[in-house]
Amino acid sequence: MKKIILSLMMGLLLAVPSAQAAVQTGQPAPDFTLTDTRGKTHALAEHKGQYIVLEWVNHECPFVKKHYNSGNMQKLQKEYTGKGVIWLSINSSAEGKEGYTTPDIANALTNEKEAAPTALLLDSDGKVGKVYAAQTTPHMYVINPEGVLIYQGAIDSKPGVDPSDIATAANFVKAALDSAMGGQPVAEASTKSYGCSVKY
Amino acid sequence: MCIMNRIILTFILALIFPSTLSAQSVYQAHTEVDLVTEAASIAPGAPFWVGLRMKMDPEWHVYWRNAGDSGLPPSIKWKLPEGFTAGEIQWPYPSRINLGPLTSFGYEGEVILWSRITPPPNLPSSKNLLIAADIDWLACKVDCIPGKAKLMMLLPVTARMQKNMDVSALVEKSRLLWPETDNLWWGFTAYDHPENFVLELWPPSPKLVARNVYFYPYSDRLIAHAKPQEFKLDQHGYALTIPKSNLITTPPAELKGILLQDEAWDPDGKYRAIEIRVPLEPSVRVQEGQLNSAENEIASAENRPRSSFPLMSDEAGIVPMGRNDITLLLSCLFAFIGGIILNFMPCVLPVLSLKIVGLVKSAQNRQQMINSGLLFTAGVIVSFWILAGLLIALQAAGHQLGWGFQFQSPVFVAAMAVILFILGYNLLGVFEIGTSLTGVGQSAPSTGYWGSFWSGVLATVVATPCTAPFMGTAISFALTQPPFVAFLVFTFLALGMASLYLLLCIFPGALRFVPKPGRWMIILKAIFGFVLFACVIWLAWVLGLQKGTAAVVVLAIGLGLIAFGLWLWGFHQRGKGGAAAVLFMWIFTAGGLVTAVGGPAAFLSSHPDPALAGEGSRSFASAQDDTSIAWQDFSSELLAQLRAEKKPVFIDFTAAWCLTCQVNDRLVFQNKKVVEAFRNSGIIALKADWTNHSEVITRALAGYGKNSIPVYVLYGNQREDAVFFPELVTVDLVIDFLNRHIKQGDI
Repeated sequence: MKKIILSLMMGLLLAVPSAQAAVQTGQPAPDFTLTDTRGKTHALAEHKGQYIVLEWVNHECPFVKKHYNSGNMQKLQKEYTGKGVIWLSINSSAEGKEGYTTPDIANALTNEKEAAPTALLLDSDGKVGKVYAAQTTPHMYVINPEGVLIYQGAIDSKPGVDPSDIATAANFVKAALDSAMGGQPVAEASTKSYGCSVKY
Repeated sequence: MCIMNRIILTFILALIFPSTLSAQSVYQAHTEVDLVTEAASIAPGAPFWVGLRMKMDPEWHVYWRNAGDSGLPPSIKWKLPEGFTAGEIQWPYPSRINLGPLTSFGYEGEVILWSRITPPPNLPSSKNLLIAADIDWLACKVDCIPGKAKLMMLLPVTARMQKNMDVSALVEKSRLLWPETDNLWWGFTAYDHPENFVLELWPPSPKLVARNVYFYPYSDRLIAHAKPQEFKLDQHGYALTIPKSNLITTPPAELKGILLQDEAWDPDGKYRAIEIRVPLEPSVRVQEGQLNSAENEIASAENRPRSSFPLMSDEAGIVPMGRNDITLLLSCLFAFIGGIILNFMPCVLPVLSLKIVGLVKSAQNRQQMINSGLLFTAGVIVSFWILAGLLIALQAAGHQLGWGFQFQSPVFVAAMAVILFILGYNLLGVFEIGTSLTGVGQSAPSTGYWGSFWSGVLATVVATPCTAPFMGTAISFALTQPPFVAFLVFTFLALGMASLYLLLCIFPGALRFVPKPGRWMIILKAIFGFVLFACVIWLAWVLGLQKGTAAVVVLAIGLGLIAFGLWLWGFHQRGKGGAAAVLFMWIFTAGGLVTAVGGPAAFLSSHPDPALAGEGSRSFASAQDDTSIAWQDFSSELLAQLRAEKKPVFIDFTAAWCLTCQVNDRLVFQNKKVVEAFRNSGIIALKADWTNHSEVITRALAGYGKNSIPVYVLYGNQREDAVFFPELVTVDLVIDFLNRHIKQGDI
C-alpha cells in the first residue's frame, strides 16, 4: 500500500509536463506513471533493476506500419522480453487525433499485429511524451537497470517507409541492448529519430 | 521492365496521349509530382537543369533536407543513361511548420527541387534518350502519407542544346529561393555556450539591416527545432540565440545551414537567405546583463584571477571582441581631443603656425581677430561636414569604407602629393599664392575674413593624411551610426582642431608668447616647406607601393613641370617676367598637374611589382629571421585555422599611408626586445596590409567593429575573445601584454 501511494505521489510530482524538457543520454531517465490497456498502473521506478525499452507507437503512421507489417518490431519485442527486458509501448496521441485508441481497441490491435510488449501504456494527454521530448512514431529509448538513459533516437539507420530497408539497416535498439548487456559501452547513444510526428 | 519496353510503351502512350511525353505527372499522397526541364534538346557535355515539381493540396506539406522534429525529405533516385551524372538537389529555403510542441521544416503549396544533369562529352547517338527518376516523399497535413512515383521524360540529342525559355525563366525565378552561397557582405562569429549557440552578425554598412532572422541548420541534430531563436539588436550589435539539440554528443565544429530574414542580406536586395558556415568558438560563459562591466566579463570563468581593466581600447585596456562600447558622448570627447592633436601633426602645423604668425603680424583689433578665428573654425567645420557627407554617401552606395580608405586610391595619393608640394614650394618663397589663401600679410580685413575661412578648409584638407590617435576610434564609431551621429562626431572633431587657433584669437594675450615677426619667420616657413616635401616623399613611397616605380617617376616628372611653371609665375610676380612668362607658366603648371595626377590614374589598371609591394610595409632592413618578426600574410582562412589549432595569434592591421601604423611598425615592432618577446612566446604574427583596397581586410575589420587603422589584435591561449592594443603602442606595453596574457594565462 505504502509503495502504491509513494509511486502515485512520485508519479504526480514527476509526471508534471515540462514543455521545454529534453532528456540527455547518460542522465537518469525521468520517472513517470501511466496506466496500461489492461488497467494496470506502471511506474518506471518499479522496474529498476531491469533493462527498459520505451517505444512510442501509432499504428496509423506509415513508419510504424513499416516495422509492424514486416514483423520487425514484434521480433525485437519477443527477443528482448525473453531476455528479461521490460518493453513498454507508449501511445501519446491526443483524443481525436490520428492513432488515438481506447484500451479495448488498443488490445485488439495488439492481438491482430501479434505484438509482444510487456505493456501498452496510454498517454493521451501527452505528458510523458513531452517529458521525454518524443517527437516521432516510432521513437525509441533504452534505460539500463540503474535507471540511466543509454539510448534515445531512431529505431534503425535507414529513415523511410520501405520495409526492404529493414534488412540492410543497422538496428540501434538491438545494438544498444546487446552492447549494454555485454558490458560494453553503447556506440551510438543518441540519434535523430524518424517517423510521423507524435499527435499531441 | 527493360529500357526497350519502356520506350515502346512511352511511344504508344505518346501516340494515344500526345501530352504524356512532356507532361507526365503523378498524383499521390495529396501531391502532384512531375519533372520539368529547361532542355528542349540536350547536347554532349552541356549541363541542363531538371526539376522535380511538387504541388501539394492545401494544408499539406513536404519536407526540407532537414525535416526538423519529424518528417522525411523527398528523395530522387535518378535512372540516367550511360555516362550521365546528376548533381545535388538545390533546396529552396523552407518555412517552419508547427504541430503542437513539434516544429518541422518544409514547403507548402508548390516547390520545385532542381538538379543539374550533365551528359557525357561523347554522347554516342542522336536518338531520344530516357531520363527517369524514382521519387519517394512524405506528405503530411497532420497525418502523414508516403508518396512514391516513377517519372520519366524523353529528350532528343542535338549538336547544341536548345532551351525552353519558359522553363529557363522558371529556373531563374527559383534561384532567388536558393540560399546565396557566396556571402560577400555580412560577417559572422559564433559561440558555443552550454545551452545555446550565439551567432553575432556584422553588417557591412549601416544601410543593411537584419530583421526577424532564423537559422535553419543542415544537420537534424544540431538545434532544438521547436524552441524559439531570440534575435536582438542592442548597442553591441546583432545577436541570434539558438537553443541546442539534446542529441549533441561531441561539440560541433561549426554552424552550417541557412540564415533567413525578412530583409535582404545584399545591397541589391535580392537574397533573403544565405548559406553560412561559421566556426564555433567555445566561449567563456558570459553573464547577460553584465556586459557593460569588463571586469565581470573577464572574471566570469571560475578560478580566474580577477583583474579590472578599463573598457576603452585607447586606454591600454581590453575590449571584448567585436564590441564597440564607446557611447556617443565618449566619441564626441575623443573626436574633440583628436582634433586638438591634429594641430600638432606635421601636415597641419605649418598651415596653423603661419596663420598664427599672420595673426601676430597683422594689426587687427580684437573684434576682427575674433571674427577671423570664428571664420577659420567655420571653414574647418564645413570642410569636415563635407567629408562626413561624402563618406556617408559612399557608404550608402554600398562601398566598404573606413577612415583613410581614400588613400587606397592612387589618384588621391598623387593629388595629395601635388597639393602638399605646391604648398611647400610656396612656403619656400618661390611664388606667392596670393595672400588670401594663407592669410599671411593680409592687407584688408575683408580679404582676411575669406582668407581665414579658406585657411580652415585648407587645414582640413591637409589634415587627412595625418589621422590622429583617438580620432580613429571616434570615426569608426561614427561611421557605423546614423548620419546625424556621424555629423555630430565630425563637428566635434572640427571644433577640436579649430579650438587652438580660435582660443588664440579670443585671448590675444597668449600671443605675447609668440615671438614678434622677423627673419626667423622666413626660416621657419622654409623649414615647414621642407617638412611638407618630406610628406611628399612619403606619399610618393605609398604610390610606389601601390602602382610601382613607374608611377612614381611619372609623378616626379609632373611635379618637376609644376615646379618650373610655378617658378615662372614667381618670376612674373616679382615683375621680372612678361606675358611670355605667364603663358609658359600656365603650360607647365597645367601640364605638370595633368601628368602628376593623370599619370597614376592611367596606372590604375596595372598591378604593382609584387616584390616592391611586399617590401613596402615591411622593414627596409632585410628581413632576416632573427632580427625581425616573421610576419605572415593575413587571411580569414588562416586565422580560423590557427584558432582551431588553439595557437596564439597577433594581427597587425596596417597600411603604408597610415602614419601612426608606420611609426608603430618602425619604433615598436622592429625593436629588438619586442622581436625577441614575439619569438619566445611562440605567437604567430599576421600582417593585414590595407595599403590597397582589400575586401577581405575590410570585412575582417568590420568583424572587429572597426573601420580605421591601426588595429592590433591579440588572441591568447586561455580566452577565446580577442584583445585589442591601443593605437599608440610602446615597446614596454607590447612586452607587458605578451607576458601577461600569454605566459601568465590571463588570456
